[in-house]
This record gives sequence, C-alpha cells and structure tokens, in this order.
Amino acid sequence: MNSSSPHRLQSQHSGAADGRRKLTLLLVALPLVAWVLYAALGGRVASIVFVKYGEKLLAKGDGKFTDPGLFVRGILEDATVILTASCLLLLAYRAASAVAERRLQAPALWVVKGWSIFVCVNVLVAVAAHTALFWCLLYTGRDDIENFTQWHIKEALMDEASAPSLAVLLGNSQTHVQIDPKILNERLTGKIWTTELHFPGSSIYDTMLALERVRSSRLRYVIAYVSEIPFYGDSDDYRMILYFGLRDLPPYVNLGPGRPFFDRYVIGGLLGDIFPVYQIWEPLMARLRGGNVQKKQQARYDASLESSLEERARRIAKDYEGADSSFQKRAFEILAQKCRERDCRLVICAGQCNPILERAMNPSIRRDMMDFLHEQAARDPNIILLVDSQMPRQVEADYDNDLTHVNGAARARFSKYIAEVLEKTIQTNTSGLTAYPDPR
Amino acid sequence: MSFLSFEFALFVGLALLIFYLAPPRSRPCLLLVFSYVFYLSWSPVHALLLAAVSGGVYLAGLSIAKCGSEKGKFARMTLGVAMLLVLLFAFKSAVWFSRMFHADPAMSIIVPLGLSYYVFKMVGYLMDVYWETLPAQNNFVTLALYGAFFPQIVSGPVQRAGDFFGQIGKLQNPDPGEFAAGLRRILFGLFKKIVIADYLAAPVASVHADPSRFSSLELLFGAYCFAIELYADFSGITDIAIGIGQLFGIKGPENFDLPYYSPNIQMFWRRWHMSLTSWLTDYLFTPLRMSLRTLGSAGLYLAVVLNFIAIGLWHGLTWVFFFFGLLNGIYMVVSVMTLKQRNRFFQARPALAQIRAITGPLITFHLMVFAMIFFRSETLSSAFKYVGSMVPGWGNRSVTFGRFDQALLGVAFRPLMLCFIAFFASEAVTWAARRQICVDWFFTMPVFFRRALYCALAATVLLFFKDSLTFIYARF
Repeated sequence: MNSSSPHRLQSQHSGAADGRRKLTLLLVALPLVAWVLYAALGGRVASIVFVKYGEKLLAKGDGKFTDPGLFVRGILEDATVILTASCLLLLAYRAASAVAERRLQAPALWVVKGWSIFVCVNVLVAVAAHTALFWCLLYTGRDDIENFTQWHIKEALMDEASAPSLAVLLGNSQTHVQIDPKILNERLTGKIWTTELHFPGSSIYDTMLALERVRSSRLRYVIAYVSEIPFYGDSDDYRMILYFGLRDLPPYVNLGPGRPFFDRYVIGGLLGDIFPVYQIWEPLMARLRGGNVQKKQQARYDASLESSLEERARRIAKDYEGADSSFQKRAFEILAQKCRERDCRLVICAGQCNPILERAMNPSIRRDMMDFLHEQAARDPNIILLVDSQMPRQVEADYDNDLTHVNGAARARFSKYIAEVLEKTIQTNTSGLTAYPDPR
Repeated sequence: MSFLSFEFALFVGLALLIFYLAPPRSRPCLLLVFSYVFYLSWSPVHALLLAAVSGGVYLAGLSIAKCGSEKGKFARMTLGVAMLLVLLFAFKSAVWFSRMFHADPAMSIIVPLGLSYYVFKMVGYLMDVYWETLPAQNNFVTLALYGAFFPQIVSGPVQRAGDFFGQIGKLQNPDPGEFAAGLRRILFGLFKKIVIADYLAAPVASVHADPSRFSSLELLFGAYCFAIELYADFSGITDIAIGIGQLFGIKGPENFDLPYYSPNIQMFWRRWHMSLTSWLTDYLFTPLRMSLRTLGSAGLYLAVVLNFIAIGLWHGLTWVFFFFGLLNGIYMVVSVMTLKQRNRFFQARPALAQIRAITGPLITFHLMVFAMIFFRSETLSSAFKYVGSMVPGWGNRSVTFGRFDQALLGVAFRPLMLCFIAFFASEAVTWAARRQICVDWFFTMPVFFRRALYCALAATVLLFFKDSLTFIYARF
C-alpha cells in the first residue's frame, strides 16, 4: 500500500491525536500525584533521611541550616513545586502552539513558538528561583563559590531556622571577613539566627537592594560593616544587574543624581527582572563550565594590584579624594527607612580599614562619613551605630597582606564583639552610642 | 547593543515577532524602525547623521535621474559622492588627528558605527544611478533601509543597492527555507566567533603587547593565530549578519570563499572580504584603470597599488593600514607581473604542477600571515619590532628561538588543539556548503541527527560564550 494513502494518513493522524491526549493527561496527573505523594510520604522520607544522613547533611550545609529533616522536607516541597510548574508550563506551551498552528504559517509560526518557549522557560526560572532546591542545583562547591548562588541558597534557607528572630549580615566583602555568622549563631543559640548575605563590592545602594530581596518576615536585625569603601568607593555597580528590578525603578528615580541615570547596569537589572534567565545566566554557566568567572576575575584583579601596600593605599586614597557620596548617603537613608518599615534594627559597624590605608586617606573623608552616620543615628533610634572607639581596634598585623580584609583571628575577635552587642540589645532593647561594651 | 549580547538577541527576537505578526505591507517600514532603534542604542547623534545622509542621497539619486544633460548628471553624482567621501574622510582623519596630538580622551571623536559601510553603499548607489545600471529609488523608506539595515551596519557585508532593492518586494512572503538557513548561519557564525576567534584572541593579544618577551617560535605562532582569529572573527560576524538578514527575508552577499586555500594573491583577494573588494574593483579600480590606460602596464600596476592602499586606508587612516595596503599592492603587482611566466613554466613541466597546487596556497597563506602582522599592530614601529623579534638572533634577546611557553601565551595544549580542529571543521563545512551534493546528502540525514547536531553546536557556543565580546571589524 502507498505510504501516503488516505487510510494510512487517517490512522497516523488519530494515533498522533491519541498520543497528544495521553501526554496532556500525564501532564495534569503528574503534579497531582507528586503533591499527594509529598503530603503522604514527605515527612517520613525527611525523617528517614534525617536519621541516616543527618550528620553528613549538616556538615555539607556548612552552617546554612540547622535541621536536616526540615531541610529535606523543604527540598522535597521545592521539587514538587518545580515539577508542577514544569507540567503546567508545558501544557500552556502546547495550548499556545495549537492556537498558533491554526492561525499562522512558517516562519511566523516558528517565531511565535520560539517566543512561547522563551516565555515558559522564564516563568519556570522565576518560579524555581524562589526555591532552595533550584539554587542548590546551581551550587558550585565550597572552593568555587558563585556569589549569587550562595546568596540565594542562604536566603532561601534562613527561614528554616527555629530562632525567634533572624539577623542578616549585609554589605560588601568587609562584612564577610569581619563577622563570622557561626560564632554569632553559637553565642546566640535560641535567640537570634544570623545568615551572612554579603555580596563582594556592594555599595550602600547595593546593600539596600539586597535587603529588599530578603523575604523573611522574621528578620529583626540587619548588620553591616561600613567603612569609607561603600560610600566613596568607585564600584562597577555589577550588583545592580542581579538585584535591581522594576519595583526599584521609582525609588531609584527619586534618589536623584549621583550615578549614571540609565546605564547598562540599570538596563541589565530590569532585563533580569523581566527575563529571569538573564539573571541566572552566570550562575548557570558557572555550574555547567565549572571554574567560575568571578573567581578568575578576582584572581586577575588581585594579580594586577601593586605589591607594596603603601603604594596601593596611596592609589586607592587618591581615587576617594573628591568622590561624590551623596547618592550613597541618600541610599543609606532609604536603607534605614526600609529597616524601620520591616521592624528590624539596623546595626551599623562604622568600621575601619587597614591603618595603612587610613593613613593614606584624607581624614576629612572619614569625618564626613561619621558626621553623616551620627546624624542618621541621632535621627533614627532604630539605628545602632557602633563607632571606632567601641569596636575592637584592628592593627596592621590583623590584615596580613591586605588593605581591607582582616585575618581569621581578628574576625573571631570582632564577631564575638558583635555577638555581645546583639545579646545586650536583646537584654536592654536600647540603642545609642554608649550602650555597648567597650572591648578594651 | 553588541551582536553578542542578550540584549541584542532579545531585540532581534522582538523585532521578528513584530515583523511577522504585522501586516506584510508594513514590513519595510518596520525594518527601518528596527534598524534605527538598533542604531540609536549606539548613538542618537550618529543616528541623525545617518538619517541626514540617507535623505541627501535620496535627493541626489532622484536629481541625477531627472537631470537631462550628461554634464549635469556627472556634476550631481560627483557632488554627492564627494560629500559622502568628505564625511568619511573627515571622521577618519579627525580620529587620526586626535591620536596624533594626544587629545583629551573625553574630547576624542568617535567614528559613527558602520560609517565606512553605509558610505560605500551610498556611493555605489549614486554611481549606479549615474551609470544607469539602476533606476533612482523613489521610495525613501527603501533607500533609508538600504543604508541603515541593522544586520549589515556593524561589519557589512557591503550589499549592492540593486540586489537589496530587488529583495524588498519579497518581504511580504518570506521563504521558510531561507529563515531556517538564516538560523543555521547564525549558529555557524557564533561558533566561529566564540569557539575559534575568541580563544585565539588571548595569545594574539599577549604577543602583540610586548613581542620582546617572546621567542621567534612563539611570535610565529602568534602570527598564525591572528590570521585564523581575524578570519574566524570576520567571517563569523558576516555569517551572523547574513543569517539575521535571512530571518527578515533579505539575503546579503557572501564575503568569504575559503581565502586561505587560494593558489595566489589575486585569488586571495577575490575570496577575502569579497563584497568590499568587488565594490572597490567596480567603483574604484575599473574607473582608475580606465583613466590610466594610456600608461600601459605601468597604469595597471599604479591602479592596483592605489586600489590596495585604498583598501588599507578604509580600515583607518594610520600608517600600519597604509603599509598593509601597500604591501598587498606590491604582492599583487609582483603576482600579476610574473603570472604569465609562472603559468608558462608550469605548463612546460606538468610534473611540477602538482607541487604548485600545494605550494601555491601555502605561499599565499604565509604572505598574508606576514601582512597581517601589520594589520594587527598598533603602530608601524611595533609591527617592525614584531617582525624583527621573529628573526632568530635579532637584537640582544635572551629568549631562546624554539621556546614555546603555553602559560606565557595564555593557551593550553588541549583546548588549543580543539580550537584548531574546530577551525578545520568549520572550513570543511564551508567547503561542503558550496557543493549541492553535500548539501543534499546532509538534508537526507534523519531530522533527529540534524537537530542533535544543531543542539551540540549551540551548547558548545553557550559553554564557550564570554561576556563583553567585540568583533575586530566592528571598529571599521
């Protein structure tokens, strides 16, 4: 018989229609079955995993979560959410294609189908990006950290902590190297759970953007180590691509001048907000390729630095001379306002850099920053301002061969001090400059 | 908006969606709008200049066509062409002057994107109208689109006006086959650019930054790498440009035809940047040759050298580009002068003809590798320093002749080999794509196999992709 005979064609057509129906049924049934299984067995699976692999999971988690059972249950729920979203989006795509096939011909049909796929993938990523599982899948390992992935894993898991209050460490790499969340969590067990959510190179504005992405309603403390760098430093605004979104546009416009109004970082941020694929591109590539770009860029940057710290300090200090900090100061005011609105205290450690850099820098820069911070703290009782005289003094030896980042011993010392501050805050629930312990 | 950015991909995607969902009659207008949106993303001021040039050329074309006297036509054409060339020369020389006198970078002049390309297109159009090989374009949208067509404005190819205008009518019924071919072409172009050119860019940048640090072998390797990088980069962007054009129903001219396998220099220049060289042949070399024909062979050689100097200076008014053009002019003159003798010699010795078939492309390739050292160098002195450093024993260099330090060059053996394999594979594909039998064979393969191949290519491109990539020819 001829392969294109009407009978054969008809049977082929009905076979294809039958296959399509079965697929539709499967796409509807799969999420339902998954949710039933999760409801029925999720708890049991989590407890089995907890008993068998609890210790290993805790070690792997590196302080990001405290309850392996809860973590596993959360991951199972995330998997069910992602599966449901995938099935629903596949159904939506099939419906859109069917409509397009009836109305359009190639190449218009291909273009519409291409867009449908693109939209579905973006919606899926938008849904998945709210889950810890998605970011855990992008995790590149402890030695090859992708900052954005790390940030999201920690952010997604922080709500699993059982402590009544949550705290976040926000800011640039100085916050990261100054305060060890593990020390804080050990000292404040059962009172406050601290998650470290720094992003290297963050300015005050970036810190404010990052705070907006922290979803927890139990957040009570925002702790940031602030030196002259986030106010006066010339950062490349890369964080804006990751954290800036449509909702940030009106307040950004109101912030006024101080940075290029509509540059590639703003566009990148908006694009990332509308098309989440754009935002997760780098973490995804880091996961697929291994050896992440940020690490290589950092290594290149480090290699390009002057070997003499004095020379390096002079160059940096020169860059800070006459730098306009008005934008960052206005951003700080918004940051403080956002903390107030969320009912959380803003703990600002007006910290130092390596004394070599401090000596090279014009003292009027620090004076200007401190005047501003004092003014803010006086105006807003929600701000807890910790100044040089209250905090542990860091000497040149604490910085090893670096101008901004302290070594482990200084970190531990400083972290213990911050833990004391938080303990005292809980006890007295007071604010101000003199309420906190003097380490000397 | 770079060709290799998410923003550009999104822009093309949105443009395609609007283009195909809009009424077919509005498509040329839409393409013009997209082209200006693309251009505005680079520079609003330069977009105004492009619009002004299009308007001026449109009026000049109509005026040439309507003029009754030959003298009047000639005067109008000359005026139009001269104004376009003055514009091109003004920008290029302004850049040269600002470099010469080390002007404040903030005040330095930026050449409008694609100026060389759209000026040449418009000059060709005016000359075609004057020669009456093409009627003057009555539709302003069509002419403005010809100048501003966004896939071609960054790095060409230089499409002839007649060819472009002829395709505008087909926009109402785009061919699905062309669309699919366009997608394949874009993928192939991205592969060449990202997998081959960008990997080789690192060793090339290293050796040209300070040739004295490198051994003769490393410098020779750097010179080979640049020849391949330039070709993969330029042919890559051309493939992308042609592919994007095909998505919108407009096919641009081919720019390369396996140039590195050319048996001699004449053939090389017939296969390299074909759209520009054929443009220059028609609009510069032929008129020049005609006006110098009274000088006999000397006139021919002079026309050849001037033509090549023009090719060199088209890239920029610098001594290196002048020398690059002059060197190629000399190559060409020597080749033309000796061609008959060589042919006679080999015809008399058929046994040696086989050797000629192999040595011809090898010699041509090496001559071009040498010329491209000048093309890549910032200044003439740095080019000579590079060439001098390649010579063993030149100067007081402590570096041994045969050293090959992979770390210093910024390469690793395995990826380098993969890069060369990718290059030869891409050349094989280019060769096969020009043979119908190979094309037919490819399309008889199972759809699954072909799709898997495309997916593998796309995955390779995505994995190798780095941000902030630029094309070498985008700056001309």
